[in-house]
Amino acid sequence: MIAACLVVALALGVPDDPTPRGVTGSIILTHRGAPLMAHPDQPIVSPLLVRVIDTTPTAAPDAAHTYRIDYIGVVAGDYDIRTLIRHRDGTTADELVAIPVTIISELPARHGTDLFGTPTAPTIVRTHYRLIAALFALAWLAVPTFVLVRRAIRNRPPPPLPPPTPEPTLADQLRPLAEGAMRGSLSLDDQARLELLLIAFWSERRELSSVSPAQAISQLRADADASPLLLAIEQWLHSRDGSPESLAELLEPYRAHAPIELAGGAR
Amino acid sequence: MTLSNPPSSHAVVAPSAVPSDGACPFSDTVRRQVALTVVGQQVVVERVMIALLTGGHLLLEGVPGIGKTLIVQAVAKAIDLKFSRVQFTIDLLPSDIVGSEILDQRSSEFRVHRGPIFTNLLLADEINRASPKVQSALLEAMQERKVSIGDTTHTLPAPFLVIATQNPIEQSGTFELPEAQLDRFMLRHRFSYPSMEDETEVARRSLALKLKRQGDGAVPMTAFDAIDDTPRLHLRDLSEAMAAVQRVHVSEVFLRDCVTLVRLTREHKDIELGCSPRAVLALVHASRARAFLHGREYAIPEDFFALAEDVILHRMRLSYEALALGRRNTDLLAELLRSLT
Repeated sequence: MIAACLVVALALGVPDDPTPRGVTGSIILTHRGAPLMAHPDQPIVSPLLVRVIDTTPTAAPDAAHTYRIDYIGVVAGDYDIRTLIRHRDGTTADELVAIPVTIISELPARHGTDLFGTPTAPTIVRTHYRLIAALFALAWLAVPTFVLVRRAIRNRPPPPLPPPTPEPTLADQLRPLAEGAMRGSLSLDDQARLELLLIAFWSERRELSSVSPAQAISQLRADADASPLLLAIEQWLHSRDGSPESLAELLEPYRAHAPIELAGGAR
Repeated sequence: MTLSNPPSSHAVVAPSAVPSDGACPFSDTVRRQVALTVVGQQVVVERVMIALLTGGHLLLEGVPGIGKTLIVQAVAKAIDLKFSRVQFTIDLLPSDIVGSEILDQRSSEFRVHRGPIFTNLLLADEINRASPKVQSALLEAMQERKVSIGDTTHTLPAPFLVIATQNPIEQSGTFELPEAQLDRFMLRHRFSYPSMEDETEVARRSLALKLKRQGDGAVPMTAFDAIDDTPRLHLRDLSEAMAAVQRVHVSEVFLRDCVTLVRLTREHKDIELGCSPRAVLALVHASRARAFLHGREYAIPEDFFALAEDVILHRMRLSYEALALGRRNTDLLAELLRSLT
């Protein structure tokens, strides 16, 4: 049995030098015993691929065969071809002695020796297409969204203003001046303003806006209602010895009552 | 307005046509006398009197034929003032107004020939037709009230008043008075057309004019022939009236109103050139004279409002933008007057 299982390995074609990656090497193996074949399930990514190229019976009576085995290494390193050889009946060929081969790489160190390894793609378009498409979609949505949001902010109605303060009427403006005149505390500017406001007040009441101010004053000086106060104001402010003493009674309506209550229905 | 009545027909003038409250005899007398020949135009007569009483000068603007010359001449004759009229033309020389030295061939000495400016009331008709050289000679005399002829300076008579006229319509061949010279005029009054009643009365009076006979010939009388040559007032009356004007009280409040208005013209965005301080003086003095003419002892806002247009408008210039927007200086002044209140 031992004799039957004797394996004779004649390295007739076995190279002494290491075999470069991707280059086919060849060995001759003489085997006596059950016929051999290469492992049928060698994956494509296997670092060493082995094929039995030729099987020739020898002339010896012990039914030995000579096998020519080709191999091709794809990853640098030391391998044992024996591991990739089987009997044709599927059993392992444990009787074989080790058949070492060395695969070397011609590339520089650290270059990598994996022929099947795919390097990183030069652009990310192919590798990150979905991500880029998603970014484009986001940008496409972001621009109109930004425009719409900005427009909405701009068109946002201003905060409600506080209710406008009604403009003071002539009578409203007159009242504090009349009080000041009765107290004798009016400044020069306020005295001038009091007189001109009274003229404007009565011009409005008598609807004299269409005539010139001079004509309006002339008519008011002859007006039965307006003239007493206007002439008294004139006397006080413009005559050489004018005094406000007689004004108190005349100014009382402007000081004490709402404007609507003044004679003549003024605003 | 054209004049009408011959001197003998004073009674034609209705007394009611002359506004008079009897408070100022000077004003009443002048108005009554002028009304004998001039219909209406009471405001113009008042402005002439204000100029006389304050020593200011008056610029009258109006279309031809509304009686500018007649009014001035009537006022001059009513107060017994010396009156001269110069029609300004492009070829007029300063010496034609001021006077010059001429060589007396008999004595072989230079003799001063005084020009028409030596008068009390000078009517410078169409002042904008004269060259700027003549205008400035006149305006300088208005300011200084004296003129130089040769090496001698001559003082002008007192009172001395220039009333100049301008025709605002026909502007070709004229030299518009610049702002600095317009400022010399205390008042610039714009004539308006007479009312229908006044114009009818003018026509009625012209029909009453008779013929003026000269030897065997005759010419129809004009309005100027109808001016009453008999003066009702004299220089002394005028001087007394001027003194009375000086006594009219102007209060601090009134001064404040005047200054405020003038300062507003300098601050308004539509006004490129506001009024000078001379405008305040004109407003105050003219208001004082108006108060006197209305029989008051003090000036009141009515005076100020009545005179604002004549004092202010020719002293302010609107900006180009305001003019382009069609704004008028009268509207702006009305706005400023309203803003005072």
